[in-house]
Amino acid sequence: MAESNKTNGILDQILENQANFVANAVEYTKKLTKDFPVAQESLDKGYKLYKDSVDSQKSILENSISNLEKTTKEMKNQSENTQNYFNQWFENQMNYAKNAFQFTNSNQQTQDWFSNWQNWMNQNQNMMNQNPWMNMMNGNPFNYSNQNMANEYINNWSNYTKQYFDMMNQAYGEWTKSFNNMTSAESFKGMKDMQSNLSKFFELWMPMFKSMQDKTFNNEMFMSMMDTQKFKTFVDGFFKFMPDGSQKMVEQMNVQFVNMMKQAAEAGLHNYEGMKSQFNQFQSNTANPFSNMMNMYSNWKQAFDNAISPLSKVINENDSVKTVKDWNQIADQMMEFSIKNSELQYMIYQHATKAMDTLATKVATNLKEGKEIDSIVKLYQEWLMIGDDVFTNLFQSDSYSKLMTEVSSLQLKIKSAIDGQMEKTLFANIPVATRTEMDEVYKNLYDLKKMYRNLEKMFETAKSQQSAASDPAPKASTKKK
Amino acid sequence: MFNTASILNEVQEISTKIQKGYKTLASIESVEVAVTPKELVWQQDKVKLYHYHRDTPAKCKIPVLVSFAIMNRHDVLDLQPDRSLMKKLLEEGLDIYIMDWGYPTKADRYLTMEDYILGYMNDAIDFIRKKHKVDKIHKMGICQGGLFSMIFASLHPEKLKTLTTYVAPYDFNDTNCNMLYKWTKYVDVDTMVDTQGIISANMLNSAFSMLKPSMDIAKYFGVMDMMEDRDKIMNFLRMEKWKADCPDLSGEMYRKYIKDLFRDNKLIKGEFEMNGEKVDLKKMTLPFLNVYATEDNIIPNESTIAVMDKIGSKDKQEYAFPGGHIGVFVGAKSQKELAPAVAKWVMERS
Repeated sequence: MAESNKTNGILDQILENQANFVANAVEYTKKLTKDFPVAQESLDKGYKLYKDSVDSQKSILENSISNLEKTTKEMKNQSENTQNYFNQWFENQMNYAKNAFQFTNSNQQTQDWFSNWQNWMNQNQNMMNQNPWMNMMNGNPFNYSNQNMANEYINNWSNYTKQYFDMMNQAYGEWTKSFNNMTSAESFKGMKDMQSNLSKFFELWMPMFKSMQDKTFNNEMFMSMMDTQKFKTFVDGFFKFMPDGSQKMVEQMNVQFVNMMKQAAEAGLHNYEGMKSQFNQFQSNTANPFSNMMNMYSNWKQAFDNAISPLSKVINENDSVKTVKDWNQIADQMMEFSIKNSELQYMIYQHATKAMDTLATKVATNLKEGKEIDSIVKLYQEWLMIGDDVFTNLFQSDSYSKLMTEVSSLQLKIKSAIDGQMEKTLFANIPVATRTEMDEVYKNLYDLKKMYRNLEKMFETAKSQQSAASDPAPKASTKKK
Repeated sequence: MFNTASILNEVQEISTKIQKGYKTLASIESVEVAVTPKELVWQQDKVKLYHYHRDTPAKCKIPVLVSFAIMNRHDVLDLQPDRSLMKKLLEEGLDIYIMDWGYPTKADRYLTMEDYILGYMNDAIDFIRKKHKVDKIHKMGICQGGLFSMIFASLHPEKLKTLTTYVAPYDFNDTNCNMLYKWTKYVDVDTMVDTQGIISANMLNSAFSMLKPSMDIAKYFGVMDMMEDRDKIMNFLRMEKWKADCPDLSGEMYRKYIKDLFRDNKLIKGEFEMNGEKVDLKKMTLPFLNVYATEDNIIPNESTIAVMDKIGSKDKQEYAFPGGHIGVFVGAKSQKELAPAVAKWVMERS
């Protein structure tokens, strides 16, 4: 019964995901159709081909919905058998992906969805080469106003891939609950996470593949096409493989960093190159922008303290005043933590950028030499190796080590100070032992045990000495006559 | 040139492998480690002493006490029957005891290094000496357990016959350092201990994983390829189980470990103290076998080897194991070459 409920829950989740996916896809289709008249002005020849492909997409999506409902019903009927369910679910995903990638070729019904996928890619290529609309993009397909459309077109593939992976990942999360032991579940999660990170890597490199195909790929092309947000998500994903503590730290750093970078992003930080120049700007303006921030905050704090100090002198130092002062100090530490944490995160992104730069250069060199890019896994593994070198150098550096330990220390101090305040304010009048009180108990127990063991050893020593004394070694007899 | 078909094929293959992975992993009932039979013979607080069963009388009458690092479980020494340093040493004829340091909780935050070495380790040694009616026993220590054994042997050489250590850190000099050594120079250990009480294993694992950030990702490519080989998967899962099973550390012990050893390098300088008594390595005069792993990325070789010139032993020997830190206990060469060599060395001095 419990198994059935769990399975139904997963089904609902998958259904919801599928529905969202289809809604997005339909939305995307509508958008393309809407945009079409603009293209029509200059494209008579390409119109029919394009319209056919959009209509085909619509029809296949509708078909997919119908298939999905049918398969889902079947799956629900068989939900007693989890393994069958999984197989069916997996098949469904594969079929769904197959349908999704058939949308450019409605007349060609083939069993091999990979062939369709590739055909679709080739067709894109042909469309670009054959019709005047697409000819506008030849030579530099990602230039001028058509850059967005071209990116959107090619990213469509990437979006499908991403959503496909996302759906699988979500359901896998549920499925890990059915493992018999934690080690197997954790290992499966590890594989899933690896796949997820690989798919993010894939997504990141997706826009580059077109330029590899037409041999326009180079380092500049890579930089101009790298999606900053996706890159950040990918790097975050990379560090999500760390154990919980580290993950939390990086996640917290992310929040701080994103906030800090938000303004910069709004000011035109739209791509990788922008991000890089922003980093460089930071560095050229001042040796360490974060120290600058810290100084600014310290100055502000000092000015504020000076302003309120006459007032504070006339207030009695009672518990409430002390509590306010304590919280003031906590806030102060949190600000310091926030700035230093951002600096730490900045270091990580900066080095991740460096690693990706190195990889792009390698890829460009390989392409120049006529080598084929035939494996996303190899590309990803290359990134891992480069990343290892870059990150271990960073982690071993004095600047990182020092800052990392400062951030960690601040974090602990803040946590401890807040715990202390909680004890005072929340638990003072509740009949439960606080952590401070328990620490005292532990200390007393520790001292008592130690005392007991010492006494026990003294007793044993005394006992053996007594026993030796009462059983002396035989001596030469002194007989009395 | 970019090969679409090949890449798409890869994506499909990965999905298929993961599906197979699910089937294989879901069919595994449990993952067992440390299955060589042993008996609990002594316990003090959370620290336990086990005695391995022997089917035949030991060739060596003087028993051996093995201590692993406190920050990891000793189970890796007996990971599985065909990868068990303990089982192999038993087969070679040794009579073996092993210390289980347990899982410290907040209640153990005040335990010091003295409590571990001069308390638990000393009392376990006394228990074995008394039980076997011998004055001295053989001592083996691994990693941090090797360092602790060296400290004990310097203070109480009269209770030991020989000392064998594996991949143990002795010299924490800056020039030997890797990332972990560097971090400990800066770490605010007082704040950590004062605010946390015990040091979380998760935190330590995070630091270890940063020695090679990609390791926890890259391994899954290999794992996916072995999904149809149940034996290989079980090997992988046992190691994963061990790696995930890390005890927290007592804060006071950690404070001294970081400050006096990692940071101030007092042992090798001859300035290290236990309960106010100086630990003089020159007083460590026992026959000594120092095993290190040539590819060790956790304990630099220089750190392990440096002790050779500092101790008072005349009978001392190095053993360079071709492999990594963990390979010393689970590698094929560990079973075939290292274990027999160590057993022979010990028996020759019994």
